[in-house]
Amino acid sequence: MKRFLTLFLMLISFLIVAQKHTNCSSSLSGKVLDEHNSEPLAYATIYIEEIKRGTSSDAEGNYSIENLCDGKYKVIITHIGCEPVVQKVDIKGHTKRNFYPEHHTEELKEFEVATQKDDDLPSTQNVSKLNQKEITQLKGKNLGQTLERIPGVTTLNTGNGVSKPVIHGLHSNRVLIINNGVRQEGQQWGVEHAPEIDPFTANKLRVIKGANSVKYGADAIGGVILIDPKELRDSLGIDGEINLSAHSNGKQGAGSAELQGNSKKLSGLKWRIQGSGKKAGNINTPNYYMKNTGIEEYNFSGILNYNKTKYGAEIYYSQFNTNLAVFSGSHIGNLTDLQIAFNAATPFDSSGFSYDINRPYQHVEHELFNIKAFYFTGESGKLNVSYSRQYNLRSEYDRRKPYNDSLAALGLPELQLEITTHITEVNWEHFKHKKLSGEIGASLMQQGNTYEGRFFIPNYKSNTIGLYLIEKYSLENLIFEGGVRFDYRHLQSFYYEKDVLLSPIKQFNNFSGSIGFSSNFKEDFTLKFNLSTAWRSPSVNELYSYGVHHGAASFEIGNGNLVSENAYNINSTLLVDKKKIQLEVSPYVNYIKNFIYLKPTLQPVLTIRGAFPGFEYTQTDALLYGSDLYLKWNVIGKLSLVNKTALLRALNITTNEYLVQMPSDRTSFSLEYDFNSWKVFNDSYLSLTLSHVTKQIRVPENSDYVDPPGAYTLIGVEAFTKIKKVELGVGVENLTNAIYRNYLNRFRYYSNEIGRNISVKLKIPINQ
Amino acid sequence: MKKLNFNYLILAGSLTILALQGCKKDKDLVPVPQPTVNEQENITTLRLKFTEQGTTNTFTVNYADPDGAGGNPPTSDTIKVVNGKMYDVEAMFLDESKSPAEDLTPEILEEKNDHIVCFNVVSGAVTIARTDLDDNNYEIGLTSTWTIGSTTGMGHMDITLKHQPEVKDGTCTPGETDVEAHFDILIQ
Repeated sequence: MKRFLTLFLMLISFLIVAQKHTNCSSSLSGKVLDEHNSEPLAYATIYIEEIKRGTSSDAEGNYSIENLCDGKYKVIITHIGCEPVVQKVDIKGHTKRNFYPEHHTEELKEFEVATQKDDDLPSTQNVSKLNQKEITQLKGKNLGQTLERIPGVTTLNTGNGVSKPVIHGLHSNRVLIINNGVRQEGQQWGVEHAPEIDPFTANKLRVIKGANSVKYGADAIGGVILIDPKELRDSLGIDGEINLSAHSNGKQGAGSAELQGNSKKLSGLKWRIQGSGKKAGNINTPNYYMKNTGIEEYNFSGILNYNKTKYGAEIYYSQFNTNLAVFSGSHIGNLTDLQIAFNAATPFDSSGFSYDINRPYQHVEHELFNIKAFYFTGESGKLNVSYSRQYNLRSEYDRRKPYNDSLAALGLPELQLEITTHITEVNWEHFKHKKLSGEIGASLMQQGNTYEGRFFIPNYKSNTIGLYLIEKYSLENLIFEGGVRFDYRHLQSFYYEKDVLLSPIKQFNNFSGSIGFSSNFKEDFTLKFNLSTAWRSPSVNELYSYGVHHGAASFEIGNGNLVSENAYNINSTLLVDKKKIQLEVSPYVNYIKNFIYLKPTLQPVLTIRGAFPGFEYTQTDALLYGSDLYLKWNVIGKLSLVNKTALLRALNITTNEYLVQMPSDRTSFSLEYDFNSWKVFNDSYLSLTLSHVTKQIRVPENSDYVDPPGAYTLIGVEAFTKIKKVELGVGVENLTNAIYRNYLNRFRYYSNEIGRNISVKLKIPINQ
Repeated sequence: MKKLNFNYLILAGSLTILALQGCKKDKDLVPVPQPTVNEQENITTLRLKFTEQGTTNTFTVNYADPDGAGGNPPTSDTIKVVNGKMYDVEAMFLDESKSPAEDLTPEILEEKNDHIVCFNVVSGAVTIARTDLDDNNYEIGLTSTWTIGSTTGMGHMDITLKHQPEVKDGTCTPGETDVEAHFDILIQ
């Protein structure tokens, strides 16, 4: 209640700040940038129709028009080779607005490849991102499901509620998630622990495929996922936005609302508050409901930002809360139960529809507080400082409550983990000096973990220090980039073994590096090549876990003697951006020395609940290689065909076997018709997608209870339009209601995948 | 201008309060995060109490794993019975990791509509009939009658306790296994 009160107080104070007044000494200024690569456009014309006044941009793309009265104006921006841009601009005081004329308006890139646009990203590595239309279309989905659109990214699922992103076959501790500039730290080691991030705050989603440890720290052997909120309002005033989504399967409803402003009274002050919620019931497979598969989620966040030309600061706070029911048919006692469950045509635990969340379920909370500041050190560079605190709570409730009534009455979770992380970072960027630009930085991460209830991983505290340097040498059509990083990690764990408290200390340190180039060797052709190394210290579960993994019917045994994993990654990307064809091919090789995996033990572990197959954490050398492909062919007129393909081979070179639980080869074809503008409808498209996933035949022998499920083909339909600024998306997934099982879903033993799912998404901007 | 600053003071103040208050309670970074040992419930023992019909001769056998999952494997007593006799058998489920040991059988009886004890005679001349019923007229198996045949020798059997919330149908197929015990039977 107190928290709501302060929130309310905050809202009131925002409203006081944002009082209205008019004058005629206002101005409009900003930059004109290329829509595709954000390069400044020199000598573009900016013309205000109502007052017939205009100006042109300078060599840096800057423009400014002074002495304007407040009000709404129609602004026309023209540039050679671009379609004119017509925009309504609400001028109030000194308004800043950037314009982005497009070079090829006929191409609506469904899948965009970042080249120069994201200068905070490595320029020699494969970076993929989702565009705004896709983000609107994917509202209501969880983060993993949203990222699955990118070729090379799949998800490791536990039912429909938990999806972990998998990049080139690697996931969990091997993929870093950077949320609003902060490395996400929860219990990410668990395959059934989904990223604790509100997808409604993710306005910008980018994926770096391949090892990248230099900038973001150790562990990023598979890749990095960057999630950023929307830019704050650039012109003075207040606006809002409402997002709504409904999905037929699970009768899911989700929505978010946000309010943001740019203060008139205090120039440079911007803010946003946002909240979202989600509620879904039992999922329906084509032939039965899955009992106890509902989800509820409630999140909120706020940003306060103060920027001056030379310095600025930002405070960010967000909270994520979820209750996630776990399909009750998946909580089984032992291997016999698992075999019975697998042989059943319909799970014993099928039911009708219900929104109820019963045992077994998970309750997860994640809180992030982040404060960051920057200061321009003269003309030469920029100093950035940040501090963040994250708190993550994970409570897991078993299917069966305790027999003992007094114990059951306490309502305690059978397993609870709490982890707190403090990260402090300093970095200094130096701007281009004789073609050389770069940054140098340091980070300190302190972490503490405690458990209650059943033992699975011990209590621990860890300290990690990292130092890095990245430099970029830019020629006209060629960029070289290289970097080096050193990390040191100190880990102390605390646990009882036969009533004796043990507190072993582990220390790890390593260098990682990256070197590569990006060459725009021919018009419309870009080649990127990158060599990088990354390392990861064994995580606490790999070192010390000891216990039955519920739902997996396995007994996991940690290994205190594990050493760090080292990855050597080669990746290259060829980009072709022609009028008729856009192509992106990115082959890669990832060699991982001391790759940690679960190896079946020879003897099953006998317990009073029966026999459990034992799995022990072991190290081997692994080789993963493959290629991602994206191809868009503008067939004729407004019709285009898109193909996305991902191939992967994953080998355990020591034993000369395949690695377990790797995504199989997959491809998808989309036929898309762009209507562009018709009457009040803008940016409309209609698409039909056929996606095929092959059966995973490359699995090690005797490592799984049952064979991987067969291949499947799914059909999806999507439509999108924009009426004024309101965006509307409609979609149908699994149109034919096909019955299938997914090798990357841990529930493949118990249940079919989700059936047909019809969705409607709406984005309503207010005063934007 | 004064008034303006005051507004921002409220704003900054309320944001700080929000941040401080919002931060949830936790154990954070204590110097030695000593593990707290919470009370946990484990069935460690299945005890069968045999009473020879028409007599007061009784004996008990145990299937026990006092150190829980992992560690030492469970131990099992041999059931020694006499051919041609009948026995009344009572099943008990205990948590012997606590001192004194906790008997969880009454709690299972309380949740009898969600539980069944299953007897699977792998080999040996033993016929078992459950003698107790739940509210839905399904058998429970906490009490049973064992009829021993005439063939002597060594046999083997499995006894399981299944937890079947809302799915109990009188068979042993649905639900999760809470206890799975293995016994040798010597028919003398």
